[in-house]
Amino acid sequence: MNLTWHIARKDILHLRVLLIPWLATVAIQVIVCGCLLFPPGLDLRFVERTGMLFNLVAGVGYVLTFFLTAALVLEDPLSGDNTFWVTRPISGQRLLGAKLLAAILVLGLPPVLLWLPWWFYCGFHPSDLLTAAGRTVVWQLLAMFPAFVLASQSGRAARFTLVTVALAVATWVALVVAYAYDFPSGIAPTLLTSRLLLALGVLFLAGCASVWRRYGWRSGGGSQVILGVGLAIAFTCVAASPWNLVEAHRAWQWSDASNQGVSMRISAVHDAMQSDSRYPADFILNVSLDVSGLPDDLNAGAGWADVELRWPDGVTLTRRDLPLLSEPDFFPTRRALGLPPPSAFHSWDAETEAWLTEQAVRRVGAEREQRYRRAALDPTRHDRIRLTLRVSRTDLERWHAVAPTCRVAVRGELEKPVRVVELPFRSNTMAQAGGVRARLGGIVKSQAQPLRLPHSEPIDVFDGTLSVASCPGTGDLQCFLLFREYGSGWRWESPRMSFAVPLSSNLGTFYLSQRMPQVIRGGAWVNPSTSPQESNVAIVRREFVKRFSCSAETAALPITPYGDPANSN
Amino acid sequence: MNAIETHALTRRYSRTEALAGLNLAVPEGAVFALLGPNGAGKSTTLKILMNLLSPSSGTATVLGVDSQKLGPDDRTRIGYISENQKLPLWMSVRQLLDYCRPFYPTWDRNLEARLLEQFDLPPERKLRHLSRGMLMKAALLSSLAYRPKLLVLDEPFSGLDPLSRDDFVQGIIEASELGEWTVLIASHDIEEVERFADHIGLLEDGRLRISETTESLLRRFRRIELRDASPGARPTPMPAAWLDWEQSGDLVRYVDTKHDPAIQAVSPASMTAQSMSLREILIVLARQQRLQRKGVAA
Repeated sequence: MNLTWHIARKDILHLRVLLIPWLATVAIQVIVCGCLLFPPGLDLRFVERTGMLFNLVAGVGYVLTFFLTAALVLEDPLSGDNTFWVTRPISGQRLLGAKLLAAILVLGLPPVLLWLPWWFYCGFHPSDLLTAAGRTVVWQLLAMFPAFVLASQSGRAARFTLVTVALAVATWVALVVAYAYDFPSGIAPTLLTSRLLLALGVLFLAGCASVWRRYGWRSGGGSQVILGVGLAIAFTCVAASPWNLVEAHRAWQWSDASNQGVSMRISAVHDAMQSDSRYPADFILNVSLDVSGLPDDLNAGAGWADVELRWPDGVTLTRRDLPLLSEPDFFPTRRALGLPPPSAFHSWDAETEAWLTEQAVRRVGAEREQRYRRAALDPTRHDRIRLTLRVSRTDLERWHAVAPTCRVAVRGELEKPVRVVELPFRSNTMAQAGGVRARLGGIVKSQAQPLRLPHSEPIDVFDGTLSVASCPGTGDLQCFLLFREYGSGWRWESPRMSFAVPLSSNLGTFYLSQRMPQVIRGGAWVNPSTSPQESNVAIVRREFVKRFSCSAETAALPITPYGDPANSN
Repeated sequence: MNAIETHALTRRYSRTEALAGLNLAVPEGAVFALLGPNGAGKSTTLKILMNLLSPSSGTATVLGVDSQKLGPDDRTRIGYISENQKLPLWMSVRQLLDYCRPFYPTWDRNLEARLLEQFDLPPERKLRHLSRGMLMKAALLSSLAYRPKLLVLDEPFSGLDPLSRDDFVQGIIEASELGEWTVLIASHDIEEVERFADHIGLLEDGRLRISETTESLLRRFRRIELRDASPGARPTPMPAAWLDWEQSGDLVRYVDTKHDPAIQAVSPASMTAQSMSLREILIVLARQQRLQRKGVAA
């Protein structure tokens, strides 16, 4: 071990100057994250450009990691009979150990150390720290591994560069050819994913074996044959592997999932407004499913579905592994936020609600009055899940002619909304909890036209920024504006957002254009700033709880036009 | 006991045969110079001995170990310096020595200090800033300080100016006085080698033409001059031991490769036998080889 460390130390000493620009890229990323958390005022261009700068610097950092790894390996080349180390008492295995040690110490560890202050600042828990560090190292390894393999085979810097460029060009050509021949068309996405994973696995094993062979025996031919065979097998995997590992994994994941008391019905299918530009001959249909019977604190979240349509003449259409788009109701979220539980989240206090409903009904017409009132007052819980179905013109025409029976089997996840952090809705406020640090930037009254829908009274709109840095495990975060005095809350949608992508954590800066949580008092809007209780911003994390599976079947499911009120039931 | 032995060692590069059944024995403690023209197979031999190349057939043992099985432990007893060895040029002399030291349990720091001073090497200077001669001396120092049992030098004088050559040779001579080791040196610089080699091996076309002590070689080769020879004095057939025969008028010259001083005593006064330098001997042998090759071709 002492000699291994001795060799590794020599390599580190040699690379120390080259490491400076690379370390600078990591340091710049940390600094840029700080800048994104503290954007100056409402300068969105700053946020966007800084986010782009971050991603650019991160990309440059990975490219440098790639070439630094190669430099580390080429310091003691494996080809040629005139290298220094081969005439010294150094075994190939020891050299390999030293190279791996140096690579981890020089290229794996420093990013972790440089990111640590940021992670501490964001309040990561020890488990979050481990996850973030692991992710950082894994992403580094993704750049280091191919460089290590190629450099150990190349032996010289010029040949390494040539091989790298050749491989990059070959990959690009392969992608172009695949695209030109519409390669993935007709292949289930899960199968394609499986093939790619399998190919990557084969390449990884072949890379490891070739490196081991190269260092163990200094045999260029043998190790290159291993790599060539690996490449051929990987190519075959991508082109023709029949094994759907993703589906097998999902089947295993959902093997013990029950319906957990969840029931589901197919509520509607309608023409989608958009079409898939990649498949212009096909038509997109949206299938809506209503999920009920959920526990008070859980929502139906992401998952997959299999759809089977059967026409009376025996023709069937099957689509498998369609991703689900969840439209959860806000009951569990209100519960998590400590708000009183009317079912509709966008509820107001009684006086404002009544006024708004009256205004809305007046604007949209009496025929929809019932719908508005029901939407506002419906006390039952029903999460909605949507899936999109791509069908050919023939199938669409058949469907329009005769409605088929439809059976949908869903494998979904139950998620629990959890409030992570809450901070007052004021400029330049910041809060940190649960591995999340959030900061509200400048909040100013917007110069844009005030909102007048669904009522005729103008409501002030405020612009602002919200920067959220979070640990990797937090997943999808949602932001809510709360007005606790009236028991109200709004999901805060951002028309524009800018993301830096620190792969060890999450960081997003959102541009907010939000009507203020004003309420009607005596027929006039009251600004919350006059209220004794301030409005707050809360960030909610959706936490995976368990899996469920259930199915629903309906007879004669007709397609209804988009926007038909019947679809809203 | 031989430090190095090869048996029917052959190495082919595609259709070219670099070594053709080489049988070589380097006695322990010898300073063995493997001489020969460019392309004779000297470097190939050394690389096979150092396990940097695999032989096509045949075997070689180095310090009693099959050269193909030379491991790190064996290398702690061997020093190897080659003209085209890629040294870590970013290191200073001191860094090179610091790097090499832990690999050798027998590293002698006193010897290192002595050689450093003797070779007049600037310890803090980067290797890339050293002259070629200094660089070779640094390589030699890093290969001597652990007192190897065997020192293998592959064309160490190549590219060195005369002063550097002299320095380097002086270094080897001085170092050889410090310990009991075997030196195998491959070179085509005959004059330099003659100064310190006690064994000579002549390699031609991958075959060992001569392998004997320098003393014996120099003793048995003589340039013979015979005056008052009659025209057409060339004997037929020419004795195999006589090379490079030439006659000009009544003067005959040839090289006797098996000169016997006892015969000299009874030979006529018109016959003189001059001793030859190693360079002259090897040139005569090379010329003879060329003639033989032409004869075979004809």
